[in-house]
Amino acid sequence: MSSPRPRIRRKVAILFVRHSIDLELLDSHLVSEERGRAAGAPTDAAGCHGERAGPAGMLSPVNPPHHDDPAAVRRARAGLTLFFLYVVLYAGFIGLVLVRPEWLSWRPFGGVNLAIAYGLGLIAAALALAAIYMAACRWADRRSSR
Amino acid sequence: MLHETSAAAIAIFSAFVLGVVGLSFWLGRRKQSAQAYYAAHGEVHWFVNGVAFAGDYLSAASFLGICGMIATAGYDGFLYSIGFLAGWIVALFVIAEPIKALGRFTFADALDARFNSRGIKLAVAISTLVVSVFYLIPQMVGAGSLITPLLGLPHAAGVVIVGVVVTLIVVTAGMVSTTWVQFIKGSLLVLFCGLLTGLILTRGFALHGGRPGGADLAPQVRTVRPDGSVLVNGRPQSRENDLRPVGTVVKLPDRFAGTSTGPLSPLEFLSTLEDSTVVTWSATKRSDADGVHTTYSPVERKGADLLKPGGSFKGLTTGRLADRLDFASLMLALFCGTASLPHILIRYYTVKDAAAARKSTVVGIAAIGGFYVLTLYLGLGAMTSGALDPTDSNMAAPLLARTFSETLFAVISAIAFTTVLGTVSGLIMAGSGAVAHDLAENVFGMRMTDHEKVRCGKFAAVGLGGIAIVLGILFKSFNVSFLVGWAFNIAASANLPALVMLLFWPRTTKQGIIAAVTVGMVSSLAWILLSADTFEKVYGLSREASIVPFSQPGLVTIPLGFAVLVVVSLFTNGRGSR
Repeated sequence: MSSPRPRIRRKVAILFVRHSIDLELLDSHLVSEERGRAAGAPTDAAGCHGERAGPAGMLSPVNPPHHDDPAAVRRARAGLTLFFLYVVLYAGFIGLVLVRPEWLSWRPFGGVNLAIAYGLGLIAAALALAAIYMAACRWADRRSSR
Repeated sequence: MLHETSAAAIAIFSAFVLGVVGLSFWLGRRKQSAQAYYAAHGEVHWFVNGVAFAGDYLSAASFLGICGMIATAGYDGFLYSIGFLAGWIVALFVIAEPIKALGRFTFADALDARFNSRGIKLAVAISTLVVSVFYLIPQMVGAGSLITPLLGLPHAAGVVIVGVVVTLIVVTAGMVSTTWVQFIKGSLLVLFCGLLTGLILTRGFALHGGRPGGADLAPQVRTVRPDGSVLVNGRPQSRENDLRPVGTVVKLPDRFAGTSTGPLSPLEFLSTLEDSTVVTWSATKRSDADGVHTTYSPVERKGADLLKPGGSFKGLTTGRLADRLDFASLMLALFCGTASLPHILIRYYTVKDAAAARKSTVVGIAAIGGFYVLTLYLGLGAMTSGALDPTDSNMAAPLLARTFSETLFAVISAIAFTTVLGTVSGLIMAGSGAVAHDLAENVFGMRMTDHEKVRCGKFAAVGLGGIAIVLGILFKSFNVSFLVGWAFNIAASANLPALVMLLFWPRTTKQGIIAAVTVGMVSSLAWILLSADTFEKVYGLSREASIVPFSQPGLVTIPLGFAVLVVVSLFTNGRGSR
């Protein structure tokens, strides 16, 4: 059995890779989207392979929404970046609990230990990232409406 | 411990029930379209929807269970809070916007949006029903076991009241009334937990729960005799001879000269507790010819030990790799499960557009995150209040309220019981959509007018309400708390891989989605049925007999769901599968 630490490191590495793939994918949509618009061509973003849902029709149109709309691509990218940031914070916490539990008794924050501070910090971070995401979405919408 | 029936609690609860049922009938007074029944016209204001998220999500397990766990085990209850909240990050950043844009009434709509495949709808409808029913059983059993100490009525009464009231709420105005009930419940829960926290901080800590000291360290024995009668410390249980309430501070930090600290700031509260010594208790059981004896022994513990992980998750301190993986697996399932729970996902269809979906998720995160911070204080306040029932940790929050006033006890008891209503109505609504919209209409191809769709949904809701009542009574004596964990694991293993890959991997095929949902659901279920926890708590076998290395499946079955989806999609790609 290997020790849990390399596992965690590997997991983080995998997340990094997966995340950058996501971003690349989105970037390629964004680029092709803008290129398409510049050329005045009808936009059918890269990667969708024209699989519009066809005639089937009980449901409305059908590609993942961020493939069609550059603002949506930017919003999705902001969301993924922040998501990844939170994953690092959350995985860091679980890693500490599992691998270095003794560090959690450290009391640097006015007598409150790291376990409590990190836990409350994760809740606060969720709210802070949510607020940043809202601002990023507003920014993305403004930018694409220009 | 014996609990007095509180007439005030019954009065407040009855008023609340009459209020919400009246509101539901008023909201449902006009003829409804399917859009109104399943998605509240898609016109719910984002703020209302955000608070309703909290009302939907914060079940009795969140309120009473986490408070009780913090009160008995310390920090480990808070670990659940952290995981339950973290799941909302997935919901906000990854799921919220696309699911709103893709779906119409149900989660199956969204997953199937690109393919229009009956197979996907069938698989997802089944997983929705499985997750909803597994989530429903502990809620109903919880309603039954809470009503006795809270309102003094028998188990079946609690189950039937909840089943009937919730069915009425759903049948009268569907998602509209469900939303408002969840909104009211969510606001009440956060407001009163805030009030209680304020009172705890104003009171600070008092030695021995404010009583003359000395008795804290005496063990107590409760005996259940073969004829069912109960002895406490060798004499029949009565008001005069009952278990002594437990959970006290026995030593405060040196900087406090007297027997109490007086008002504390939120941070001082935590740091003072860390420097104090607290008496909690442990229970040991033994049986002989006289009956089953449970000894509640006081355990003196340093505050610093209570405020770090390991009090309940023993694996964190023993250092066994399998136990640690079990913990990691649980935290992963909580993280991934929230954003795939059907009764949460359908709330995204009640708002106008993606921007409103986003905003309401942020409100939800604020309400739920705030609530979890408050429960930390409630749990720690209860632990040191000198008022806890050693036999029932679920009563921690209401008994804490009783140390302030009887009225507050009545209000908190009534609210605790109404937490069940909000969550169960969300679950019945999700199940009703899965049966009527996904199965009847889309899988079996029943052609229905708009009006018939609503009627079909209402029939499904009545049926599910009936099933919920029957299950709640049948499962009375089972330990059902782990079913919530099942629901999270199945949701995370079956629904999340399909949803995420559909959104971010263009080569996903319908066969891939069907396979991932089916394999995720079956593998996580099988893993749980074979796990040590289930062997011990459900079958009554030894933990060693189990054949899976740790109890929580998420760490294995969530990646498995992704892997199956990728492999099947690659094999079926380009076969006209789109």
